Amino acid sequence: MKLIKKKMLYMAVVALAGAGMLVMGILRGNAQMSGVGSGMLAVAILKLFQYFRIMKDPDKVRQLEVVQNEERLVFLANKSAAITLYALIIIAYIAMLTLMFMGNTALSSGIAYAICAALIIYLIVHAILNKKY
Amino acid sequence: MRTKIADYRKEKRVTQEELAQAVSVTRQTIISLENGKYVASLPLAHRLAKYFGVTIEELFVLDEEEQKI
Repeated sequence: MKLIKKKMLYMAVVALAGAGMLVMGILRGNAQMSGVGSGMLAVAILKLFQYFRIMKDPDKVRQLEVVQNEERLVFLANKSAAITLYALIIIAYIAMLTLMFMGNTALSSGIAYAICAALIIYLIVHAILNKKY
Repeated sequence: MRTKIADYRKEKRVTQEELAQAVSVTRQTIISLENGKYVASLPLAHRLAKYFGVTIEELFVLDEEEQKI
């Protein structure tokens, strides 16, 4: 039950942020901002309804908790994230080189800085985790 | 790493779903464990061994290569 309440709180924050963006978008006449805001709001409301329904059924709450904490699924999520990050860095590197050869140095430098930042973050996180475990 | 989960499960006449519920995992995890595609963590290995009333060594058998290490 603790997990579902945490998820509901998170979705409530997303709904509030979405509503805020929607109102700001309408007031400023920014269609992109209102579009993103309405999307966030709609998803958050749908998820909140889903969690309210799950909360009424203890079996479904238990099932959700098992799926969320299940070690194989956590392992798969971690592995997928690691592979995705690796692919992202390679794609960014290729994009950086392509833009550099095309003469777009500003964008190329931006991507290069982003790659460097990601690698520095990786080294810092690795060092912290190495001490922790 | 080989597991004898399927053998003990059949001996105890429980389904994969029942075993999954008993050790708080999904049925897919039991299938992956039985097929040797996934290696259980120590806490899960402990829960499985406790469920079948055997030791972890009886449930999970190291391959020859792994035993040499």
